[in-house]
Amino acid sequence: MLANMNRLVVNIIHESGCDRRAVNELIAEAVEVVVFGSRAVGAHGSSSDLDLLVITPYKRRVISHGLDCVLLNPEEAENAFWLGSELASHIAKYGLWVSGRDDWKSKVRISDRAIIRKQDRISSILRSAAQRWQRLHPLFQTKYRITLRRELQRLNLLVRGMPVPPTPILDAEWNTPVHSGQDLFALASDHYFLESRHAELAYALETVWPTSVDSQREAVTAGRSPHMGCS
Amino acid sequence: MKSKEKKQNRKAIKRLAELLVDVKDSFGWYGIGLSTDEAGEVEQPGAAQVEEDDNEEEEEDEEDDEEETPQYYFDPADVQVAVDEAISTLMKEGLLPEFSRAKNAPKLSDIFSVLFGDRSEINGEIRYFEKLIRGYRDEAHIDDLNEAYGTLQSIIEKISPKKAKA
Repeated sequence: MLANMNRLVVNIIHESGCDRRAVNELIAEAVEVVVFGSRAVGAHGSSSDLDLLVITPYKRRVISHGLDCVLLNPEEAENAFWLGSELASHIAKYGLWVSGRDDWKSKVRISDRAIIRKQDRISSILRSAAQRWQRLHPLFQTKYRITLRRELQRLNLLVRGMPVPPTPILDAEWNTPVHSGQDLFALASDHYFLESRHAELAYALETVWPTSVDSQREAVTAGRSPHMGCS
Repeated sequence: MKSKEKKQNRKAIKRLAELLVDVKDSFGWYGIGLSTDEAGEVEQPGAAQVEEDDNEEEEEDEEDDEEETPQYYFDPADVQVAVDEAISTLMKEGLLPEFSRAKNAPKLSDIFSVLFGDRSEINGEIRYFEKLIRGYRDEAHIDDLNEAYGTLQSIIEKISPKKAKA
């Protein structure tokens, strides 16, 4: 099956080190297969998983080492929930089609629901990390600052109706002079979602990402490492 | 030297088993592993309802879907942070000297590789657990979280020191 595909995609799948038999089985049944994420744009680290969107009438659970699969049936690929999602917009812009047509691509538009989900994600990270903050080793505190920074970058793009790029590209953009930690902190703390929800989230944000520490930016920039790279 | 290392490893493994029990308890946030009474009191956080129905026009989205069986996905942040807290505790207690100069936060599977050896079968189980609690794009299905809970329970039983028979 892999032999029939274009060389670039075959190389991406081979290099990922994932279970090729699992990929072959998925492709054989699928209506449409798309590689996305860091491997699709050549910005991956050695430990990055292979991200696949598989549109298939035979949806089943796939948990395989080195492989992250999103499975949709053909009807789901046409519904508003999917077409408005962060992931659909990401794949529409950065995906590499292995097989099938990309009919749904032109219908993608980031929905309010996708933005609310991202706000929920940020709230969850803040709440969970802040509760345990003092008990986390500094390496993990850095990890959560990086996670929070990336999620805020993603939120910033989504509210502007822009697709979110793979994580290594986000990290590279963060390292340009255009961005600053203060900007993202302002985005988070001024954003209505923090004010309108729990007051303690604002406190949590200050705990996880104190504005007063200039060196914070350096710690948060440490996300360039491939180990911290891909989610 | 080797026996000193082994002793150190045993101590770390014993402590790891204790800390993983705390991680297991964090599943209570999702209503997993609680008694029936406790589960009734849990307000499940971050639950995202995903409609199974297609063709969902805006008008149909009105509040008439009470009879549908919701399919729940959760943000697994709480369990993920609980895992990181467990690793942090081991590191702070000096039980993982191998990671004292680490530049990036280690994963649970990294810790298991060091404590049980690269070829141990339990490494596969812990990687599976990690995959389940990672979910995908910030969401884990409740079935995966339930399975993660069972997997963790099994891991804890395997690594806990055997109690002496009475």
